[in-house]
Amino acid sequence: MTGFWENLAGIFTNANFYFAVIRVTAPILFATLGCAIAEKAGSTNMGMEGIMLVSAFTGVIASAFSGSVWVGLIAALIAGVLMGLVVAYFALKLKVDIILVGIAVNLIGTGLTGFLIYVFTGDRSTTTSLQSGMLPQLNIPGLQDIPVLGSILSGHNILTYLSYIMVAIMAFLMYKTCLGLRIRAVGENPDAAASVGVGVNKTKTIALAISGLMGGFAGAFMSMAYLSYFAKGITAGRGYIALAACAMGSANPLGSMLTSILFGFFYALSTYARTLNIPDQLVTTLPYLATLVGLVIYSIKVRQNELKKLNTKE
Amino acid sequence: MLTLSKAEKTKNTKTIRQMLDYNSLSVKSKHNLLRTAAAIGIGLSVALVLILLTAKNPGQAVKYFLAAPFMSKAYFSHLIEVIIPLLFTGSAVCIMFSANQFNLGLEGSFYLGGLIAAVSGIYLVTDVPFISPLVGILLGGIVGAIITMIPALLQYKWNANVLVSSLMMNYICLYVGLFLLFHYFKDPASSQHSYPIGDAAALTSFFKGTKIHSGIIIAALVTVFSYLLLYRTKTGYSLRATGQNPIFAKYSGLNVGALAVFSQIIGGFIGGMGGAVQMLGLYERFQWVDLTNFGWDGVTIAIFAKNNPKYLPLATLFIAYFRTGAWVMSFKAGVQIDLVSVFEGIMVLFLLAERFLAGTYKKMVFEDADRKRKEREALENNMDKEGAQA
Repeated sequence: MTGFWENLAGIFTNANFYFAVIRVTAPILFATLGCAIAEKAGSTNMGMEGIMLVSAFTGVIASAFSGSVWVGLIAALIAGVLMGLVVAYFALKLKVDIILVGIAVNLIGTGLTGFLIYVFTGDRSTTTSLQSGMLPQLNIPGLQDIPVLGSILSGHNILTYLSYIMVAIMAFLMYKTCLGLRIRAVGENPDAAASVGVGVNKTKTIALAISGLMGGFAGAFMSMAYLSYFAKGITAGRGYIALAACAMGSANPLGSMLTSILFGFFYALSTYARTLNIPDQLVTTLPYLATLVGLVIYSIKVRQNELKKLNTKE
Repeated sequence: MLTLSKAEKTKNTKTIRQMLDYNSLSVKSKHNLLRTAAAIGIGLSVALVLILLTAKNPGQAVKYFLAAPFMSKAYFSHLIEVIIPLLFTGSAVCIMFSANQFNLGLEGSFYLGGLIAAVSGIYLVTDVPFISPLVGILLGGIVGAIITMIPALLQYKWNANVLVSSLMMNYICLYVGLFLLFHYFKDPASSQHSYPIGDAAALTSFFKGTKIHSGIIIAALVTVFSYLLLYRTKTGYSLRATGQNPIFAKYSGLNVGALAVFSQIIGGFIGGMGGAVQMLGLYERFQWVDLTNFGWDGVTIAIFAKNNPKYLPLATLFIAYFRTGAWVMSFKAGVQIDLVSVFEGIMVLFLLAERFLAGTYKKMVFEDADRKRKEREALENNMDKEGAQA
């Protein structure tokens, strides 16, 4: 077993590992933030997976046909927002259970992208034949020259940096703006919010649109930063993981970031752990298992806090 | 004015009442029918437009999409094959959703149910006719039940979100299954297939040349069982009451938490059985290297069946019909089979839309009331006339 611990130590002392953690966390972080703002408004955005797929695909197509990766990014974001609005329309206007809307949106997203890959490329599973661009990487001057830290923190994709900056932006939006207050009010108690003149459906729609925007970023990251093409099922359940990370992070931005990093950590570990002589497949379960365990611990904590509150009240 | 005997009076009011009841019922169901038809119409038009826009030979593609099951015996048999797993996961979701439990762990149940049935057919009871498949299916059911039970218990005990934890369970099941496959059950001669399942463990085919297997009988029994459970037993009534209004159910003295867990165990058991039946009915070796998607299909089916197993045969037939069409179209006319998911997703959205065509409903109610008033007046006039004549 000494080999195991040595190898594990080898992974943890490898700067590339931490670089990978930061990188694989980014799309999940975007998606988790998206789920979080929807959740804060009292709507579970189950359709995140479908939104990401549609955005990732739209981005690649727009980038390939316009020749500009930025056009691709903007198209992905627009697609994300539109999908968010579709969720809002069916859930709020036509009164469909929002979880079932999400499931349907995932179904449509998976189907539509799978169908259109073939239409656009003649290939059945990827868009590698299209010349779509990749978003640029940033080498941060000054930072990149610092020995270890530089190789961990510098040279990431521009969207990776944005995902972490987005945590602060979302925190500001949720806790320091009028819109954020409305969103939280609508989520906590829609009737009370309505009674003081907050448009419940309007606020929820805005939250879902922002959620879709985050899904757009996450999708764009998958097909224009993580990979340079779109493949069938490229998101590989990240939309669902985001839901879990959001639940575990109690739907606030900082918590979302921590749980996303937790997932990213185990995900990166699973790609590195081939050297540990543990079977691949078992290592791959790690991120999901960690999320499940984390969720349970979080739930127990919440329950304890509730009990404490009750006790102090008495 | 006429004088009617008391008996005649009650008889008349009775007929009027019956007529009113009948008519007011029919407005609602008429509107439901209209909504369903509209949902199917919208889904179908989107699918057709997509085909017409993208297919190289649209006419042929549409023909296959709409009529493939009638074109050959093989296609028709494919339709029946598609129905079998859908009946299982559809029943399972009907039961869980009736209790309002959004447990989405059926993917995992189905997958591991199939794996364990294969393992049972490879190692445990390989060559006893009838007993071998039975053991495989029961083991599949048990494993399936455990998979959905874990998130259910986590919710019951610690209030951990069942939706999220069941989604995580699916992936854990997949990778644990793959680990078992690649490390223990894989035939070294093959890249991803297990050792062969014993012949006696396989479900028998009914017709030579088709893959329709005896699993369809089990599927039918499970569907009937689910219906009886939900609509003909006290437990089923309690489950539905829990689903519709948990607070009311709680104050009526029902053990809401236990009922919720129970519904998920039964659902998982049926899902696991479905995986086992699918494996033993169609495959000679275990070879699933990805989740099968039948768990998600179960949700679609349950939505089409309005969570009532009574409608499952119709719902699965409908879905299977177009899936067969899309499948044939994909290899005959080069339109990707994924199109059918778009079609299903759109229909799901509109079928569920409570407020879809709400304006039309209002109009229908008013028209109906108007008509009823006229009929009643006519009836009363007639009675007056008859009375006058008498």
